[in-house]
Amino acid sequence: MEILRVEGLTVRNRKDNAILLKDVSFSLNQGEILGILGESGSGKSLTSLAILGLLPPGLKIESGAIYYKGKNLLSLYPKEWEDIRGKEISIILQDPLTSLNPVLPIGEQIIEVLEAHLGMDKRSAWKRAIELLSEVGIPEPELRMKSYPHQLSGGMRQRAMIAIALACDPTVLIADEPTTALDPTLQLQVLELLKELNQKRGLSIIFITHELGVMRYIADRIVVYYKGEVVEVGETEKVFSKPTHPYTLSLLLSYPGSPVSFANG
Amino acid sequence: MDKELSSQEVIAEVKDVWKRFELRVGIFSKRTIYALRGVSLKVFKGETLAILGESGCGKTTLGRIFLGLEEPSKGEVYWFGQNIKTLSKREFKSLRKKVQAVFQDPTSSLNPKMRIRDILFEPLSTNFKITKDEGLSQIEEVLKKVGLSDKVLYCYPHELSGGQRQRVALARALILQPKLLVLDEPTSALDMTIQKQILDLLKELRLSFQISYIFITHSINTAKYLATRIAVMYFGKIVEIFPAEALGKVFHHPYTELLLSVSLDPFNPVKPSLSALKVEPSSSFEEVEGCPFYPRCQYKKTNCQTLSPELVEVSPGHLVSCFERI
Repeated sequence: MEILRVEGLTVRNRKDNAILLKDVSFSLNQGEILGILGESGSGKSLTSLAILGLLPPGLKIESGAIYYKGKNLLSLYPKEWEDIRGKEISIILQDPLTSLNPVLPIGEQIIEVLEAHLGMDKRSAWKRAIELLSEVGIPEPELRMKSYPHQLSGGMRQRAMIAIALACDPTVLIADEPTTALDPTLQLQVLELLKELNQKRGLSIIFITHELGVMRYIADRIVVYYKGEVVEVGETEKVFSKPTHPYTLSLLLSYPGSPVSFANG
Repeated sequence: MDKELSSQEVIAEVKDVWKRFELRVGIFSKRTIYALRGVSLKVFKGETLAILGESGCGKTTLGRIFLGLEEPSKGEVYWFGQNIKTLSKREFKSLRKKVQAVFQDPTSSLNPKMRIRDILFEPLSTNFKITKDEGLSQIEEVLKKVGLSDKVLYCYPHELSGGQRQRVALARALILQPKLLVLDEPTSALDMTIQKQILDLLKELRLSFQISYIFITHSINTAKYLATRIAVMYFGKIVEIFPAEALGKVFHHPYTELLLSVSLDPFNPVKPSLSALKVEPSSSFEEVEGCPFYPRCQYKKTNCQTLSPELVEVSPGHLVSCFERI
């Protein structure tokens, strides 16, 4: 079942009229992990900002629509956005240290979300926050509630971010390069956690990355971006074994030690 | 000279190097971090030695020590057989041109207010008596070597793409015809299609310039692609050294094994083992007695907690510091 659909999205920069996204279309199915693959500046993150209605004021959506459960998000009023953003669709970003509030304990940061969106009282929000922390695999969650972001390791911080993003039990999670700043061992832990949430909760995930290994590991389907355009959409296995677009092929060949036979076949 | 006895010429060497950093925490208290805990390593002529490790393991500090940019708290650094502590200023300067560096982010390592021609002329003018016009032919030549046209001569760094900038940084290092180049994650700030180009360029330049590389990286995959020898660092120590072609074919140190098991190869998707992942890496503040990898090791025995293993050669060119592997 389709849960989110981006249709012909075109975004321009107001200043120099440059096209940043050109006629971007793809859809996300319920319970699926959809990978967005592309190099820096190809418009991956811009797409995720557009889905959350967070495009910077200098950018203009020229045409297109984003349907979430049949409703066009682009026609929402600011007040209506509040019921979607962070509640139904939430996001985790690359560097948890810059996206977490450095002067607030992580427990408070989760409670904040629960109070604002779900109107919970402090006591039940506290309880729920502990549950969330233990769900994302943070040991001794009661103690960790009072930790500040800088007291946690990189992997723990990213888990705390995920806990905040999951606080309102969203249907869609956008993960924008969530493991790029992490060491390989921690990276795999976070990927595993996301996979588990996908399977247990049926969480639909849009996973943005430029790393081929990560993409193949986590995604069910892949959307390939090139200079603001979608050049290929397909099942992960198919994209990796039989890429159709020449750009996708060049991406795959850029992997050090990619099989040579593959270039001819 | 025992160095002459070995079949290979040693370009640079560190002997039992320790590096301590004092960190201020709060107003009165200080904490000590050991970035390096007794590292000894040789770089041979014409080789690419990859230093592989996760963030905070001390690989960048080791690179800076090799470059003479950082003074070790304890231990010696040798360039071409000479202890750099005992060199006079003039001798140091004459050897300094032979040891050059390329850093991770070309945007911050190139002066934004200088044109490419001036950026490349600076190393020449500080080392030789040379006029700008005389330098030009050398600059043009080195630009050609790194695959840039002389159109970029009068550009500023911001006018170039990331890959072009990294080529300029490379040209600046190569223009003095160094014998050793320390490359500190030279491709991790670049896009993936550009990364491969730079790696291939590095391979090509190593042969044409006859230089040795110290290639600092966190990616096991790029290390495998570029290196001839790989040294794995953990917690300020070298835990394993092996020829690059042996990767995955020998009994590795448990940490290298862990790195191999979590590396995600898009063309060979095997399910990584998750058993070893449960324990978080320890922080560099903690004092360790015994093997630093002990808390995360799946082969640990009781004496690993108290005794620290030494690097021991288990087969030609393959050194491991692990009781289980000796």
